[in-house]
Amino acid sequence: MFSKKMVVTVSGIFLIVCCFIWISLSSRYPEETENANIITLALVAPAQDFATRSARFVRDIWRHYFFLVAAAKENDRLKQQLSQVIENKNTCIEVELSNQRLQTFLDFKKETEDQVVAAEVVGQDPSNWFKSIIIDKGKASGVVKGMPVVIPEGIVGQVVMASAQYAKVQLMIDRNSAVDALVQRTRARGIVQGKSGDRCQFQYVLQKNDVAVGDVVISSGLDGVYPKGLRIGEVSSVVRRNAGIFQDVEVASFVDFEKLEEVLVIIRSSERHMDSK
Amino acid sequence: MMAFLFYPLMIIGLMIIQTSLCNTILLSYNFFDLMTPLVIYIGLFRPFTEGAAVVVCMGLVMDAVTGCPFGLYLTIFFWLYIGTKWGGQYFHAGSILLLPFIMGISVLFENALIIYAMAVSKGGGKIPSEILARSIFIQTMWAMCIGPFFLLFYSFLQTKLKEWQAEGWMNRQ
Repeated sequence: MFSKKMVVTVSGIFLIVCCFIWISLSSRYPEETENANIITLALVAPAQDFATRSARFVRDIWRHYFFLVAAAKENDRLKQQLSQVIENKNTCIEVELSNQRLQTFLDFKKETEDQVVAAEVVGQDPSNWFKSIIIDKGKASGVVKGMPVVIPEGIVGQVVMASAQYAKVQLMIDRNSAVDALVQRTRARGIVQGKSGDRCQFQYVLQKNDVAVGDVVISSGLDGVYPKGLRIGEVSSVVRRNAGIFQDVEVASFVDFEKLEEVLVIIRSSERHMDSK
Repeated sequence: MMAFLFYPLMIIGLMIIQTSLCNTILLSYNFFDLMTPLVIYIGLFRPFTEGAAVVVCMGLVMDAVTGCPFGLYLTIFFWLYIGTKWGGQYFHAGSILLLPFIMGISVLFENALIIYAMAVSKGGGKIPSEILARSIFIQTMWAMCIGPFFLLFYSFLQTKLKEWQAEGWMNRQ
């Protein structure tokens, strides 16, 4: 009765009209289409949510990748800066400590009348039984054998060998070292000699002399090497025996020989003593 | 080339360890001379011409940097070297059982010569005999316990150096 073409055309027109009516009604009365809207939303929203999240995920990965690359670069730069700052800080601390030490040396240099040469310790004795150090000043700086070596805290030792640029200093705690000394408080005389370890023996102190623990021992200046009045150490133990004419006195040096970094070599005094010899 | 670098580097390294670690942490009097295992190693495992030159250099270096009478370490190292070379003819040098005894005897010999030098030096203060005996005993024990490991380490190091040298040579070919 109706051709196929006619049925399709009429159906199309009908659908268009229905759409227009639907649009008109839903625009004019939105509450009437709310249920349909809700159902649609319930169906579509999860899919939309999934799509949005997926897109955001990809976008975030992309952005974070670039961010991480930038952050990694920045991290490297900051690490480098931090290490430089730490290095600078360490240098500053070292300079400050060195400055303090040198300031003490300078004060000591001003106090003493003797002409001194400052030297740096460049080597320590690797052997077990001998105690010596190598300093970076030698004959070129006026340092010769026999000169006393001191620091503000007290006597370090004496030069036993000198080359043009370096010198070997026998420490006061070496068993071959001896310093003519006296107790500051009572003027009791004796000889401070190196012993095993970091202690010294104050020998030839007569039994009748008053020596007590804590007394300061200074150089007497009579040995022709060390100027008078240089601090040596503190009496750490006194043993008076019934027999014998001498006391057993032990002296702990004021100098920390493990931490020696800079020393002063007394030049003029030594020359004076050498001339007198 | 590697062999020539090996000895100066070892000597410098050992001196640094001795002056810093041993003197501060391990109390100087109670630890044995770390140069001794190197001399023993050279005496037992290295050719005579190479070893003699190195031992003489080591002795001179030690004499220069320590406060000992000049020639003391040269003498000690020389006779240790000769002794180990001679002993190596009669004993199996690589025996792990013998190494502790070789180390112990070497440290005793070294200390005996040092004590002799201290005894004959004029004007030196005397180290109390009980301290002397105690420290030598501890040194010997240390040497017997860890000395052989130094020898094995030197042996391992030199083998590796040879390998690297051979590989380098092969690569150049």
